[in-house]
Amino acid sequence: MKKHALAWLLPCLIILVPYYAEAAGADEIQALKDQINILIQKVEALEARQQQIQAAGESKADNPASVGVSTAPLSVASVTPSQSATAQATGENSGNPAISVIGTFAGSAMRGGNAVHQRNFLPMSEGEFVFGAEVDAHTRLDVTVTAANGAMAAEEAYVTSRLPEGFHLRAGRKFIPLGRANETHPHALIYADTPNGLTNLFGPDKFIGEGVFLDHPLYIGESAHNLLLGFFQNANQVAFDPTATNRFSGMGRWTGMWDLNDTATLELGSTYINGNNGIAVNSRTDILGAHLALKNLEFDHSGWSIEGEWNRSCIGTSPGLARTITDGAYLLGEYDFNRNWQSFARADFSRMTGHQSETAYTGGLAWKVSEFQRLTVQYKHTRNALTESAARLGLAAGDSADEALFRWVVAIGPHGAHKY
Amino acid sequence: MNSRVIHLFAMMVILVCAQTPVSASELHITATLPALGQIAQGVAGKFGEVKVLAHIGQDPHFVPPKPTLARHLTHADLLIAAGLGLEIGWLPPLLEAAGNDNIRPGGSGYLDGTQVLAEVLGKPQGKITRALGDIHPEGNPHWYIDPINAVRLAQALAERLAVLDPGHAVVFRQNAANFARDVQARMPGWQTALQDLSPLVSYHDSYLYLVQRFGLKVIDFVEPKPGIEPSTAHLDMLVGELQKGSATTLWMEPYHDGKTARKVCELGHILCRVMPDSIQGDGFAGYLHLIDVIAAGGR
Repeated sequence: MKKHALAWLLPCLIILVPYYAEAAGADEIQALKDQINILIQKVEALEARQQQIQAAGESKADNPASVGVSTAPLSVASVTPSQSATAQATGENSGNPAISVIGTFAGSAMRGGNAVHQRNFLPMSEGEFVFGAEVDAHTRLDVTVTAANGAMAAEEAYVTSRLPEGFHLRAGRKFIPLGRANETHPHALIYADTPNGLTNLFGPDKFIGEGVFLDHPLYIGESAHNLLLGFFQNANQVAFDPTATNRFSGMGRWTGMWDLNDTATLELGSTYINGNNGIAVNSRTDILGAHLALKNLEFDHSGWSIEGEWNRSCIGTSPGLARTITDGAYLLGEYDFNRNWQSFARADFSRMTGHQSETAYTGGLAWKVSEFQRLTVQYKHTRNALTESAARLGLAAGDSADEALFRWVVAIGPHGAHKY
Repeated sequence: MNSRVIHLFAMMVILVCAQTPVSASELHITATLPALGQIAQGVAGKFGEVKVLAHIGQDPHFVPPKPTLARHLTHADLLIAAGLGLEIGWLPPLLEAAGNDNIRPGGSGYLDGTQVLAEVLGKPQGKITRALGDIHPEGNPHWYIDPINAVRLAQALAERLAVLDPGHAVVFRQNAANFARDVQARMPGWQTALQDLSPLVSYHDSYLYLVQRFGLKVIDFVEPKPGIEPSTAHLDMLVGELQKGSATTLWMEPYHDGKTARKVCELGHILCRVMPDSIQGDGFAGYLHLIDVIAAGGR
């Protein structure tokens, strides 16, 4: 058996050997042709250069008015000094990762049912330390370490491999790419809170998983799409396992974007996640979501956008029994007066099996002092808070609350562009 | 779950197969800015298809990185950028989405200002911090508004295209040479016309290469620091200076044409000039028209 284990290679050799033998002869001819082509190109370049020098000389001689205008650097041959100067300037730091620190200082005042009061005055609620660099020609590493409430943790840490045919493979710990808000770092959102629709589905923190995510961009006509498949473990206590034990899930996601005109775009998307939860043996959680974003950004930096998402989680307690269904949704409207001033309003809606629906309304104003500093003031009213929203606010379920929020985000160091 | 995953995978395969095919017969060139695209089209002629990422009139610092733009990069043979950090806020995510390694900075299909310019102007001196504003540490990236730099780009492009498509190398070089001749012929006229617009105040430092080329004088900027909106104190000081007759015009980019600049012109008793960095037009004709418009006092 072992004797013939490599017998299957024989037909391959029979096919490939003549091909390479022929290729060797063809290679020699091609190499000679290439050499001739290079020589022809060099001659042409020298001729063209000679013509330019002559033309420049004639022009100067014929037209005294042009003497004050430097036309000398018309030759491509003088490109080299600038290249070497740039290389010297950047070479020193070329191997280091880009490091940025983002500080979020947040203040809030809340008044809720049963005379509950809470006040925070500008503690540094979160510090993000972002590191990112190319590992080699194929792979990139991005790490975000978060410091909050005196503890540090890796919020995200993943490698991105650029695979053939335009595929990207991300492996590691990531915000789950569900809808639009969950995947975005809080400092990049215009509002200072988390939409209640997401809080009621996944708790007050981001829905995070550890696993592999394979995506591929697709361009069909004038539209751009992205398809993503993922397999990850997560310890989300609200949607998956109340004991915070890791559970495995699979996911698929589609997003599509269309240019409506030079300034406006429409994005639609849908996500599906399915995995075991720890509530009972073989019980599962399904999450289905859809999102949209209609944006119009004028060239003078004014603009508006409407963005929304709806997600539903179906948590099975055990096969054959009733499932707990939770819906969480929000609709956000944003208006940009100019590059510095923005306003927004958002409506949140949540519904859970066996509970009254929860609604929340919020609005605010953001001042972008520069690209690296933004202040937000916001008012929010929550009515009939569901379990998770109520826990975040320190209220009993079903209570209502009014909140005033203030957030000051500052960033230092090179920080990459945020997703559109 | 397995069947659902299989369905998702099948859908992915079907959509991958449904992608828009790209013709392999001509060069696919993508330029980040309209002016660069016009020069590229002029050099490539009918042997290259040029796509442009930014629109005419759009602030080149803040182009929204829409995934729909990445489609122009996916199959590009050559990407032409201003470089020097001008597109740093929006080009990297598009390159990441496009997955075309050949056109990444450093790749054989990437060309930017650092490979074209004889001298980079406006390089900040001393310690560079963000207290200096939204500066470009590598130097001022608005080099393409200088017609001589445009000629240099055309020549560099001709050489690059000659490598990508050796069969039409003569055409590319001839096109670049023709452009150099046209620019050369117009330089004296531009030189004379632009003197009437100097000394000037500029909103942002977008015209550095142009004013140095033609020997114009910029006395101040509306922005106290690059990318920073002016304070009332700075505007007061600027208006006071203008009222002494120190400048004749205020130059501003179309995307800075707003109340602030107009008020400065009104109070300073000078003319507001909207000086575009790109204008409608095909190929070299479009670029030459841009400089004609600037020399004629803008829009």
